[in-house]
Amino acid sequence: MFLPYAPRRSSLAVAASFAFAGLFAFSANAFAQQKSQAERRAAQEVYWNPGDEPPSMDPTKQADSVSGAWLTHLFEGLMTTDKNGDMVPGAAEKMSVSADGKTYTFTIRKNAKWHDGKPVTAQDFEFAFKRLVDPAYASEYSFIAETAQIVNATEIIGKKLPTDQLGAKALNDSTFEVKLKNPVTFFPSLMAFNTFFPIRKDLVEKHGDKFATNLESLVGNGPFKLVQWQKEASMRMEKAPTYWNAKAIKITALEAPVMVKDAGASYNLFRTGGTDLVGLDFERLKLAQKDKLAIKSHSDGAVFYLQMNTVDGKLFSNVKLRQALSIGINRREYINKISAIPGDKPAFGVIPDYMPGSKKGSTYRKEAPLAFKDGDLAKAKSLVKEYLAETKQAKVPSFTLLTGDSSTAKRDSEYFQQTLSKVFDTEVKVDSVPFKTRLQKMRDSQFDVVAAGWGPDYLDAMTFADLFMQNNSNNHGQFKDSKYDELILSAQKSADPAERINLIKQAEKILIVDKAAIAAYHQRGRAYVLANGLTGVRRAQVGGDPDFRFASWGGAAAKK
Amino acid sequence: MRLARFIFKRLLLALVTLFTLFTITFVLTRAVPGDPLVKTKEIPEETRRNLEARYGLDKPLFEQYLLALKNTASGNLGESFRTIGREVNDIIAEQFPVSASIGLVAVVFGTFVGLGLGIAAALYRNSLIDRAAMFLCVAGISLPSFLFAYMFQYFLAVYPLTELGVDPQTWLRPAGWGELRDYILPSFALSLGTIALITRMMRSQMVEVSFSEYVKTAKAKGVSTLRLLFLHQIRNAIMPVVSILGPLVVAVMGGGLIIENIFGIPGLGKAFLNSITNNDYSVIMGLTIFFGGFFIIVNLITDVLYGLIDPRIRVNA
Amino acid sequence: MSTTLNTQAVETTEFSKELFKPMPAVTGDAERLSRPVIGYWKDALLRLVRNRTALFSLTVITSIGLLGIVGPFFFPSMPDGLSYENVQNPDLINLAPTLGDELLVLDDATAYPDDLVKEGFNAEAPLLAPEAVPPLSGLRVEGKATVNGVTLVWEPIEGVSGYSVFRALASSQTPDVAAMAADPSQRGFQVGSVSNPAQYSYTDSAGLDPAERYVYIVAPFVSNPETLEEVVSEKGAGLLVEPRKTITLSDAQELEPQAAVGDTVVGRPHFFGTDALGRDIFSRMVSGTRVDFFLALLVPTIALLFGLAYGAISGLAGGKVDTFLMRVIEIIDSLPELLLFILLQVAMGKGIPSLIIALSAFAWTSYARILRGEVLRLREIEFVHASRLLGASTRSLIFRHIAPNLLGVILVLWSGHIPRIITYEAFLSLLGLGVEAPMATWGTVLQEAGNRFQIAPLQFFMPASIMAITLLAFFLLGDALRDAFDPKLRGRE
Repeated sequence: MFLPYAPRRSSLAVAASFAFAGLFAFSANAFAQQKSQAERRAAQEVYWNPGDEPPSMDPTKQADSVSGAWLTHLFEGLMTTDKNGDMVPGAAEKMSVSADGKTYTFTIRKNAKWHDGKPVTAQDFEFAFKRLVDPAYASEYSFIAETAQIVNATEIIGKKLPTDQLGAKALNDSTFEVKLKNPVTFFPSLMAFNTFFPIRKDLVEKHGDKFATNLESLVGNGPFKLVQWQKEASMRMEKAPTYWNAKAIKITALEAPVMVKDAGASYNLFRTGGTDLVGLDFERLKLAQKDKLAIKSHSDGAVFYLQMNTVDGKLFSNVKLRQALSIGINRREYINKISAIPGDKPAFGVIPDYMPGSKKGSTYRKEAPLAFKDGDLAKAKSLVKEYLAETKQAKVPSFTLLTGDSSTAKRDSEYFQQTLSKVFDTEVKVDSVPFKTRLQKMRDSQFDVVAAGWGPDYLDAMTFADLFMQNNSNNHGQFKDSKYDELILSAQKSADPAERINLIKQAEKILIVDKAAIAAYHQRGRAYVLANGLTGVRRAQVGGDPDFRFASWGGAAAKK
Repeated sequence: MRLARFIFKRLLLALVTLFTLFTITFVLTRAVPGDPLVKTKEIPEETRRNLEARYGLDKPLFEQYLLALKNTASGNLGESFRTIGREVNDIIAEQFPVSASIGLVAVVFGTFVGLGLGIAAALYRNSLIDRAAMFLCVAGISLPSFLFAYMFQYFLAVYPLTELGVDPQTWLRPAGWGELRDYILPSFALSLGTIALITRMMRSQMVEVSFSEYVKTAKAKGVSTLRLLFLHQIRNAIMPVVSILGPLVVAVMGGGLIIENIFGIPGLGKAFLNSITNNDYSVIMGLTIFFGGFFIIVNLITDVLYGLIDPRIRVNA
Repeated sequence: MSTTLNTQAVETTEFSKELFKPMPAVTGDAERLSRPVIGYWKDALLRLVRNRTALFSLTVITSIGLLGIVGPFFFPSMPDGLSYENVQNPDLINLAPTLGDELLVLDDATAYPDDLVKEGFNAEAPLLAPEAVPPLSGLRVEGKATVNGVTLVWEPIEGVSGYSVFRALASSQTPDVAAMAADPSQRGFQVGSVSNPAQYSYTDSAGLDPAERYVYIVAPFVSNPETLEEVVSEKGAGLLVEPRKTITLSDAQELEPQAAVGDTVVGRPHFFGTDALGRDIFSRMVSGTRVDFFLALLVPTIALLFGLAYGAISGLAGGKVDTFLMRVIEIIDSLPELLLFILLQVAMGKGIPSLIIALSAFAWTSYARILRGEVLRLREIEFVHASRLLGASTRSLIFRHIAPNLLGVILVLWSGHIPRIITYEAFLSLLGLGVEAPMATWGTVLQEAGNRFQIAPLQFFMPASIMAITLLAFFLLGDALRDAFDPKLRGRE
C-alpha cells in the first residue's frame, strides 16, 4: 500500500548498477599497478610523460616532437646519433661519397634486423624514400627530400614525374644509392631524420590506411619495440633483442603510463614518482628550486623572433621602423626576467648558437658573430622620428601584434605590447589566437608584427637561413631581397664549408641589420629534472627529444 | 500506446535537432580561421593540393556539406585530421566510456552526498549546519571545478606523498588512468557541482514538502518522526531531484573538458579540446553530434522514467 | 442527520414579507482598511528588507560593484596613458602581498658589468687533477646585489678549466653555506659557467625572484681533455645573497620626484601581490570587476528582452505559431550548449562583443519558455478575469496585473542568471577564450593564479575568495528575491 512502485524502482537500480559495473570494467584496466621508482630502477625501466598522444607514428608522415621522440626509439635510419649526439652509421655500416659529392652509397648492416626477425634491406629504404615524395601519400614533410636535393624529388612531388624516377635506388639487398642534384654538406645528418627511416612494404600493403595506427603494423628496426599502445592513455616500448647494437642499450623498457599535458599536473606526477623526466616552466622552476631538485637545462633548438610584415602598404614596409623595433626591444630583460628559464639565451641573429661551423668543434656563431646594442629606446625613437618626418605624420598608426594563445605566448605578447607601445608611442593591439588560426592569419598577411618561432629540421644553418627567401612559403613577412636570395642560393650549391658559412653570414647581416626583416630575440632554453640516479638521457635540438636510448639507472655507481 | 506515441514524437524532434546541430557545427567549424591542414610548418603548395585532394577539402563547401551529412547519417563520422588514421567512431568507442564512467561516479557520489546534506540542511533550517552546507554549495556551484582539481591534486595526492611520506603504491596518484584509484580525484572534483545543486534542490524541496497538507495530516495522526521523514517527506521531495539526474550526467561530463587534461584522463573532453585547437573538423563535428544525440537520449529516458516513477506526472502525447 | 432535518424545516416554513426589514446602511469601520495598504511590490520589498541575509548580500554586491566603478579612479595615473592594471614592472615579478617594499633606485637602462679578467694570469698552466684543486677563496658580491643582477667576484685559480656558478634557494635564515658548497645535491642549479680560468667575475641576472634569498656557490672545474667531461670540484665557496628589490629611476620619480639613483624609495602597495609580468593583481581584480559586472548585468538583460518578446509572442499568438516557436526552443535546448559555446567563441574570435553574443545565444530560451508559461497562466487567472469584468481597460490590465506578476518572475530569473555569467566567464578564460589581452577579468586573474597556486597560494586564494563571496551573495540575494516575490512562502521563514 505504501510502496506502489517499489518493484519497478529496484529493477531500475539493478539495471543501473549493471551498466555502471560494465563501464568500470570497460574503462579501467582493473588493477594494472604501476611500478614504483625502486622497482623501475631494479628492472632498468624508465617512465616518461610525453604529454600527448603521438599524432602519427608513421615515420614518413609527420615530425612533431612527441611522435619524433617515440619514433627515434622504434626505428633507425641509415645514420643515427651516438650518446653525445654525433653522427654515426646506423642501419648502414658504411657510407661512401663520390668525388663530386653528389652520389652517396650506403651498405646496410648484415645484422640489421626488423623486430620480427626479418633482415633490413636496401629495398626497405628505397620504399620509404619513394613513399615520402609520392603525391598519393601526401606527406607534409616531403619538402625534406627537396632540401636533401635528391634527384627528381621536386618533380615527383609536383606530379611531373612518376615516383620510380626518384634518385634513390636499391642496387641490391644491401646496397642503397642516393643521387643528389647538388652536393649537400649536411646530407648524412638528414639520413638520421625520421622521414628517412626504412619502411616495410609488406606491412604498408597489408594495413593500408591503418598502417602505423596499431600495434601490429608498427614493426621497427630500432633499439625498442612497441609492446603496448592504448590510445591517449599509455604506451610501452621494450628493448628489442633483434637490434644489432642491443649490447649498448641499458634500459629494458620505456613506458608512458600517463599522458598529461598540464604543466602543474606533470610536475606533480614527477614528484610522486609517476615519471622520471619532467620539463619545468617558469612556475614549476620556482617550485623545483623550493623542492631542492637537481635542475638541468638545455637549449631545445627553437629560435623566436618578431617577424614584421614587409608587404607594401603595411606599416613595417618601412625599414626604419623595422630597425627601431629591433633595437627597441630589450632582449636581456626578456631573457632574464620574463622568460627566465635556465638555458635561455638572447638571440640577435636568426641562426642559433649550436649550429655547427665549417670545422669540427666550431660553431656557426663563432665564425659569424652578430650582436648589437638593444633596448636602446633613445635611438629607436629617433628612427621613429625620422620615419614620421619622412612621411609627414604626427604619430605612428596603431598596429597589431599577432601571437598564439598558450600561456607563455600570451605573457610574452603582453610584455612586447608594452615595450613596443613605448618605442612607437602608439597603441599596440595584441591578437592572441589559437595556433592554427595564427598560421592562417600569417599566411593571409593579416598582421603587422607576429611573434613566431622556428625549430630546426636538420643540424645546419640552412634550416633557418632559407626561411626568408622570397619563394619560401614560410616567409610570412614576405621579405623580398634579391641579394639575400642570391647569397642563400649560392650557399646551397657550394660544397666548401667555409665559403658556405661566409655566404650565410652575409645574408644574415642583410636580414637582421640592414633590412631588419625580423627581430630575433630568444633562443629557447628548457629546464628539466631527471629522477635521481637516471643518467644518459640526451636532450637534442634536432631529431627525437628526449633520447632515452643510452639512458641507464644507477649510472657510474652501478658499474662499480 | 500513449507512451509509444510520445517516444515517437520525441525521436522525430530529435532528428530535426541533430540535423540543426550538424548544420550549425558545420558552419561554425568552417568559420574558424585556418583549416586542419595548417600544421606547425607551412607545407609546399603541391603537397597541400595533394593533401586537400586526399581529404576532399578541394571540393566546393556545399558538396563537402552534403558528403559529410551523408556519411554522418550512415554512422560514419570520418577520420581525424590530427591523429592520422584514427576514426572518430573509434575515438568515441574508446574514450566515451572513460568520460561517462567518471561522470557517472561523480553524479552518483554527488547525489548521495547532496541528498544527505540537503536533508540535514532542511531539518536544521537556519542552523549552523544549514549555513555551512549553503556556503559549500555556493562554492561548489560558483568556483569552476578546475580550481578544485588543482587543489585536490596537490592536497590529496602530492602533499601526502612528498611531505608525509605515504607509499605511492598505496595512495592516490596525481594523474593517470587505468586503475580504480584513478577515479577518485577527478570524480571528486567533478562531483562538487552536483553536490551543490542537489543539496540546494533537496533542501528547498524538503522545506516545501514539510508545509504540505499530507505531512501536516501525518503529523496530526501521530506518525513517528522517522517514519514521517522517510516515508512522507524524503520520498516526495526526491522526485524532482531524480528528474535532473540525466541532464546532470551530461553537464558533469562537460566539466570533464578541463579536468581530463589536469588528471591525464583519456576521455572525450580531452579529445574535444584537442580537436578545437587543431581545427580537426571531423572530430569536432563527430563529437558534437554524438554529444547532442547522447543528450537527447538521456533527456528522453529521464522523461520516460520520471513518468513511470511519479504517478502524478503522465506523459502527454 | 441534523442537517437533513433543518433543510426540511426550512422547506416547510412559510415566510411572510413582513419578516424582512431593510438593514440600516452600514456606516463606520467595517469597510475601512484599518491597516496601511501593502501592495505586491511593497510586500516584496518589506520581506526582502526583513531578510538579513538578503541585506547583507546586497551590501556585499553593492560594495564590490562600487569598488569596480570607482576603484580604478584611485589607481596611480601613468604617464604613458596605460591603465594601471596593465602596467608591467619587470623588476617586481611574483611579489607576495605587500603594503610597499623598500626599493633601490637604479638607472633606467640596465647596466650589465663587463666580465673581469685577471692580468698576468697563467691561463696555460697545466691542468690539475680534480682532487688537487685548491679551495676557491675571496668570493664576494661586487657592487649592490639586486634582482637586476648579482655580480660575484673571486680569486682565480691557476690550473683549472673554469668555474661553475650554482644558485640555490636559502632554506633558512642562516643556511650552512659551506656544507651546501661541498654537497653537489644541495648546490641548486647551475646558472652559468665561466670557461676562462683567468676570468674572476660572473653576473647572474636570470630569473631572480624579488621575494627570495639565494646561496651562490662558485666551484672550479677541470675538464678531461679526452672526453671533455667537466669535473666540478667540491671545494667551491658559497655566499648568501639577498638581492635588493629595485625600481627604475623614471618609475621612482613617479613616486618621489626628488629620487635619484642609489636612493631608496617605498614602492606602491600590492595587496594581492604581483603576477608573472609584475602587474598588480589587486588592481587587475578591481578592473576585472568592471568587466565581469558589465557582462553579468548586460547578458541576462539581453537574454531577458529577447526571451520576453519571444515568449510573449508565442503565448499570445497561441495555436500553430506557439507550437512551432516552442519546438524551436526545444531544439535549441537539446543542443550541447557548452560545446557550441566554445565553438562560437573560437569562430568569432576573442573580445567582449563575441563574449556577449556567445553567452546570450543559449541563455534566452529559458526566459522565453518560462515567460510564455506565465503569460498563458496570467491571461486565464481569476483576478484578471475579475478585473476585466469590473471594466478594467487592457492597459490597466497589463500594467496593474500582468506586468507586476511577470516582473517578479523576471527578477528572480534575471538575478539567478547573473552569477552563472561570472562563472562562465571564468570557465572560458581558462580555456584561453574570453577577453582580449591585456584586459583583466576575474577569470583571467584566477586562471593565471590557479596555475601558480603551489608557489603563490595567497595570490590564488584571495581572488578566489572574492569571487566565491560575490557569487554567494548573488545566490543568496536570488533566493531572497524568490522568497520575497512568492506569497505562498509568507510566514514560513
